[in-house]
Amino acid sequence: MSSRARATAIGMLGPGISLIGLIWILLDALFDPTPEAANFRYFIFDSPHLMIAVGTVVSAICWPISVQVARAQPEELELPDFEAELAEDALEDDEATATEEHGPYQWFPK
Amino acid sequence: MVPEVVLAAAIYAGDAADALSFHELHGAIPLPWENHRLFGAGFLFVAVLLFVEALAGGVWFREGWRRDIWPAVLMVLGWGLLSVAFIDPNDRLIHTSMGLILIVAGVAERRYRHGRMPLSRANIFVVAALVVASLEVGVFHSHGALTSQDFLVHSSLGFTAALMAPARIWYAQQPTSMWRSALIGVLVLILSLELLGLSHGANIDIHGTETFSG
Repeated sequence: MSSRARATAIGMLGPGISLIGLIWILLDALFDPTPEAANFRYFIFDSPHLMIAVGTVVSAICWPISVQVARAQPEELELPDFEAELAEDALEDDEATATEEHGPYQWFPK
Repeated sequence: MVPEVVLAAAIYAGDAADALSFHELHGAIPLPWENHRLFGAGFLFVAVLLFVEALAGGVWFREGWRRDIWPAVLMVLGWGLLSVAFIDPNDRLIHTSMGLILIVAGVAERRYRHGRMPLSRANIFVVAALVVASLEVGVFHSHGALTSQDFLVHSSLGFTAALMAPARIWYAQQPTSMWRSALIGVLVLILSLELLGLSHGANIDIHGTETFSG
């Protein structure tokens, strides 16, 4: 997947979620004739309103990341291997232990 | 000395919560279906972040704190269940044990993401937490007839949570794969949509008066 495609997908997530929430409200208004109370509790617990709120927050977080992804090199977009870090740390610990036991390695010409 | 005082305070507060009537307690605390929607919004947010993590790869992990989002979610859910056990007198043992397992899984996942624990060992806790969570939600919390809304919501949530366990094992076979990482996000997204879309109930205001059918 190219950097541009990834950046576009990341950038569209927030507005997409908000748009679905908005369409949900419109469909609800069109097809559900039951009058709904316009109180605060209704707004904060209504699913489409929550989706619009989540979409807004996601947009604010993801747009800067989508710009960074668009500018990144392909190798920067690979997921890190956390276990490799574990192996590197273990190797460093082994080297440190060996240095403590035997002193720093010194090379002498024959 | 301190643990005894904390335990005594917890028992006292628990008894006080039990003594309150339904509307006194739920005037300030969201109703079950309201909680479902709030958790649905939270899971939707987490699902999106998991997607972005898979898509952005190394760019996402330039900021060190972003490694902790998924472990933090597990731990927050664990603490949430402990608080539910504190407030709700029903199924206290199940909520408490589930909360503790989720917290331990969060700690294990955090240690893996900081390169302090191999994935195979962290997965023991994470997969166990997912299996127990699916049982807790899908089996112990499913009440009513097979066609009732309560049963349908909880069984579908439990089934989705159960699918996350094999998805996690599949991810562990190749943790650097974008698609395997994104699959967890897809399942969390489905979970969030189930919570947002299937949870309906009466809107009860802070005085316990029903204002409309949600």
